[in-house]
Formats: sequence, structure tokens, C-alpha cells
Amino acid sequence: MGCLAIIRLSLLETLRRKDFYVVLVLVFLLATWVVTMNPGGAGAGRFAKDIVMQVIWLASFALTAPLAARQISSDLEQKTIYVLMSRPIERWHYIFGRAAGAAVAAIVCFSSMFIALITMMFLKGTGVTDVSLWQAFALQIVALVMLCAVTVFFSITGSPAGAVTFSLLSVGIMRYGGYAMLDKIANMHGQWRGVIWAGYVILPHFEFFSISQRVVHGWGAMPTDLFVPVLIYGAAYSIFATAFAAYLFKRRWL
Amino acid sequence: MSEIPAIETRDLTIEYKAGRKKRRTAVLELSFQVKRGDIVGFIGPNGAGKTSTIKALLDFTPVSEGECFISGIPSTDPCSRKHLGYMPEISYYPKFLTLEEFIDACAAVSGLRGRVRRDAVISAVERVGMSEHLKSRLSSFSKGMLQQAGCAQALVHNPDILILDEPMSGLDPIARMRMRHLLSDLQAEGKTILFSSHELGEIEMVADRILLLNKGELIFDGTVDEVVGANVNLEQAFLGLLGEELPWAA
Amino acid sequence: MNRVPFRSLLISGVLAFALVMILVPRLKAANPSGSDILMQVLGGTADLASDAAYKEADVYFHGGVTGGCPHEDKDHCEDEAAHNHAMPADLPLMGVVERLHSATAPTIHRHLQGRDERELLPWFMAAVRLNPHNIEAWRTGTYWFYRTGDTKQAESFITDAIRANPNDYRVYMERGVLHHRIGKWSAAVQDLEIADRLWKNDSEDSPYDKKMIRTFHDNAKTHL
Repeated sequence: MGCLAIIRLSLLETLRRKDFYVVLVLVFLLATWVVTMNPGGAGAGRFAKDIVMQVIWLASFALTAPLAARQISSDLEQKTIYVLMSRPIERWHYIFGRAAGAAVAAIVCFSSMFIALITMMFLKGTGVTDVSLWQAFALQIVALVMLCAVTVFFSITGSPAGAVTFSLLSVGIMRYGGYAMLDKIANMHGQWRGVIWAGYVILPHFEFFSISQRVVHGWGAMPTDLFVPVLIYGAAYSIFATAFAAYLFKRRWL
Repeated sequence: MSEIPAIETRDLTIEYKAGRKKRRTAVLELSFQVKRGDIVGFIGPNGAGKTSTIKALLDFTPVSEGECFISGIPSTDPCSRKHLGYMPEISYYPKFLTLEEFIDACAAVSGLRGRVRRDAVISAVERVGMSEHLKSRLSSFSKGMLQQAGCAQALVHNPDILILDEPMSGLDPIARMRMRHLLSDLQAEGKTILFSSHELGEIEMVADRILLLNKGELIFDGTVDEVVGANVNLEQAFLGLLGEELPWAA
Repeated sequence: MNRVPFRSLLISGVLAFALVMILVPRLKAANPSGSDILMQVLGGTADLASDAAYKEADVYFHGGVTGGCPHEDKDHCEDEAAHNHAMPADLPLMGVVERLHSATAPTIHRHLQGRDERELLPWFMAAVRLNPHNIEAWRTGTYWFYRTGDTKQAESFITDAIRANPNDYRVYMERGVLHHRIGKWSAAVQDLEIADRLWKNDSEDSPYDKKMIRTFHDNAKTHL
């Protein structure tokens, strides 16, 4: 019950802030501009889908990290945590509630922007019933949940700005370099290979959740035997990161 | 069979890190009890350890040694706070929420549901005289109004024990009078109140007992009459106990 | 919305509009070359963005495969089946990660065909917009406009290239070749003569270009 109330609190706080609405309006403006584009009479369905998807995916990460970072740090800074923790809730309830609240808020933000994408695709006639598109939607939601958990963990151990920086860096590095790292490790030799591999495995693998190129270039749905485990991985990693954050928060002075 | 005290500390010691290898003692072997139904004033100069003690009672601060109990339950157990209401010294609350949303969230976290919660929110807000501001955002509240909102959130779940940190801070004389009446009403309802304050005059009017802390140690534990004694008022007695010279000494 | 923020928004909007109306003419006057404000703001990054847009057209043509081959050993690229070679199995979960890589990023390239080829065109247009001196983007874009059947747009595109790069022989060469393809012989001859006059031996392709200019010019002349 306490967790649910904290989730609701996080959602209310997020939706009352103006930055989400600014980004949403910009995304809708971009989608509108892209719909009207017809460069060289080419229609540009694939191009439009690519641009709008990239912008929405990036914007959702850019919105989520600060949102998650300020959940606990602002409570601590402004002492609003006292009012919550003076009640009969465990500290881990509070951490899970805040992380889940950030995740719910991030999902609401992303879903709103996704509506812009769907509308644009519908108007461009590029089809919205493609299974891979909805897989991409589900995967991005789980990626955002994971990002919330990782950011909350970083915010417990450091400052909010540091949490945002580290979490967005981890997204950027894994999404654009995760597979290159894999190649490097596969070609390595020596006694450190196993250790580096172990380090690689425990990193948050945001690259698993990015199938936008699959959607844009019409590669069809991701195989179910990969899609479902990736979702489970994301959920499990989020729980693990949040639990670790709760453990660190347990004996923290308020 | 002796009654379980509402609030109890046993040899409570709290130490803070003050530099690389230094530790500062905020509270040293503090032991006291607050019986059910009492209003106890918790006083002391700045840095005496009042807030540290309150934080230990609420499990905001880990204790170095000793124990704290709320209704016989160790303060490290969240169940100890089931019937406890706390009003913090600094009235910072989520500014994006309305008063109603804020009190409702507090009630929900305390375990109230549905109709009961709704009624409790309205009742708590009425009790502190803030009904007309129910739909207003906390960001538009003055300091005094935030204090009253803080009082409302402490009362919303009808706790048996109240810990109030500087409840009179920022209140105008009329609001202070209302707060004094409220504390008396709460005591009449059988609630136990531990409140810290620098307003010795207010404590003299309201409290049954005084706990005087100085440099982390308990200097005095007794009734207001006992501490005032031959002194004119509590302030004189307070300064005398702390060994401070009175500037207007005859 | 609260009154105060709305008023601030309105005032900010009016101030921003006024600033733009004052600054834009001054910036334009201060810029003798006449390049637009967007390019001035982007600066050197516009060239990088233009190159990226041009490369993206290639990625699109290859069905989303970046760099042509996701593995370092480029000898594999000759054979599509080689993309399915197994990674070392000694590390746990390696096989799973490799499968995920194949599932999330296209690794087997295939070419766009038919009407889908038009999907490349926006990238060329973006490339030349970002850097009007990206000759390769102009040339390749012209080719693809022609290949997708839009010869009018191809002509217009390469003519814009000439306007932006009046002293580069390659754009005249490209228009000459285009005119040759669509049977506009006298226009082809004219363009190729200009290209020949402007030709410089300043790159690896220059001798080859010289031969191309001569060949197409001579062939076009036979049709006059």
C-alpha cells in the first residue's frame, strides 16, 4: 500500500512539471513536420519513421534519467523524506516505490510520444500493425524501467547530476558500443579474458532493447525465443539494481 | 504490571563522523521515558542533541549504542511508527501537490484506504483550520500555512503518539494559540506528545514535563513546577540549569 | 496554467520574435558568402552531419547494415553465409549475446529494390542541404533520382549543384552524363565541354573522369 502511494506521488510530481510537456510538444511538432515532408516526391516513409523513432527514443532516455535521479535526491535535499519515512514503511518500500514511480512516469511520457509516432506512420501510410513496431515499444518500455533502476542506484551512491551522467553514458556506450565490445572480448586471449567477460555480463545491456533498425528496414518481428528472455532480463536487472540500491539505503542517515 | 511507556530511550548514544578520523558525540547515554498521555517538552540550546534524539526515535539515524522504543517496539521496526505522527522542524513538502493530495498521500502511506482515508484527510485539514486551502498547491503556502499542513499530515492517521519538532516555529500569535489549544485537545483525547521547542513560554503553558538536554546529556527530567521552582519563569530556570549568567542579574 | 508563467511565456515569445527580427538581417549582412543561418550555427559539424547523411543512404540501400560488415574481418563480407559463423563457445552466454546481436541489428545485407529505392533520396537531399559542397552527395543523388525514374528531379538536383559549386568540373560532368542518358545531346555536349574546360588533375579519379568526359562528349556529338 505504501509503495503504491509513493508511486502515485512520483507520477503526480512528474506530470506537474513543465519539462515533459515541452518535449512532448516538440516531438509532436517534429512528427507534423516529418509527415508533411515529401523530399523529391519520394514519400520518405522509411526516412520519416527513422527520424521520428530516433528522436522519440533519445528524448525518452533524456527525460527518464533526470526524472529518476531526482526522485530520492530531491527528497533528501528538501527533507520531504522525513514525512514519508516517519510512517510505518520499510526503507526498501520507499526505494522500490520511488523507482517504480519514476518508471511509471517514464512510461507515460514515452507512450505519449509514441502516439505521435503512430499518428505520423498512419498518415504516411507506412503501417502500424507491424509486430516489430510493438515489440520495439515493449522493449523500450522495459529499457526505460531498467534505466530508472540504474539511475536510482547511482543517485543513492552519488549526486543527482552524477547519476544522470553515468546512467546516460551507460545507455550511450552500450547501445552504440555494446556489440563492438563483444567482438573485442571474443578475440581476446589470456587470463583476463574471463574476468573482462564477467564484467561485460553484469553491465546493463541496453543494446538488447534496440530494434528500431529492424522496424525501420522492415526485418519483421524479433524471434519470440529472444524477445521474451530480453524482457525478462530487463525486468530482472531492474529488480536487482533497485534491490541493491535499497540495500545501500538501508543504513543511510536521513 | 507497569505500563509500557509510549517513548523510551535506554543509554542512547549517537555519534557522527566529523572529519576523517574524528567522531562527534551528539547524544551520550541518554535515558528517559515518556508515559502515555503526557505532554513532554524537549528543550535545550542549539546543538544539544534534541533533533538527533528525535531522529533516532524515528530511525532516521542509526544509533551507536543503546536503544529506542516506541510503545515498547524497537524504533528500527517500522511497526513502531504505526501509531506515531511526526511533524518535522523544517516544513518542506512536495510543492507540486495540493494540500489535499499531500495529506491523502500521507494517509495512504500510513495504511488508510478508501472512504476512511477520504474522511481522515478532511478531518485532519479541518482540525488545523486549513479547509479553505484544500485544493491549493503547497507552493503557494506561507511558512505558517506549511506548518499547519505539517500538523495535518501528522494527525491524519489518528496516531496515539506525536513527536513535534518546533511546532510553533513560524506561527503568528493567533496560530500559536490555536496550536496550544490543539495540543491540549490532543492530550485530552489521551494522546502522548513529545515536542521540542525554543519557545520556553509556550512549553511552560502546555507541557506537563520537561526534558532538558545540553551537549548530548540529560540535565533535567521533571515537571515544569519542579524546574521553575524559585525562579520567575522557565527561561530563568533554563539558563540557570545551563550555568549561563543572567544579563539582568540583580 | 498559472497566470504568472503564462505571462512570462508570452513576454518571452515576444522578446524572442523581436530578437530574431533584429538579428537575422544583421547576420545576413555580415555574411558575404550568403550561406544561411543554419549552416552558420552548425559550423563545422554541418560537414560531418552531411557525410553522415550520405553514409546513411548507403546503409539504407544495404537494408540497414552499417559499414557493410559487422565483424572486423572484412573478407567475410563477400559471402553472406559467412555472417552466420559461430563465436567462440568457451565463454558462457556468448552464444545468446551473439544471437541477440543478429536479432537487433541487421547483419545480412540486402539491397533495396524497385520503389523502395526512393527511400535513399531524402538522405541525399539532407546531405547537400547540410553541406552544399558535398559533391559526391550531389552526384550520387542525381544518379538515384534518375534511377528511380524521376529525370526531371534529377536535372533540377544537379542544376542546384552547379549553382552551389560553379567551378567544380564534376557537377557539370554529372549533368552531362545525365543529359546523355536521357537523350538531350546538345545539352550534354555543352555540359561536358564546360567540364573539360574546368577539369583539374587534383584527385585519384581525375584521369578517369577526364576519359569519361571525353567519351560521353564524343558520343553525344555523334547524335547531333
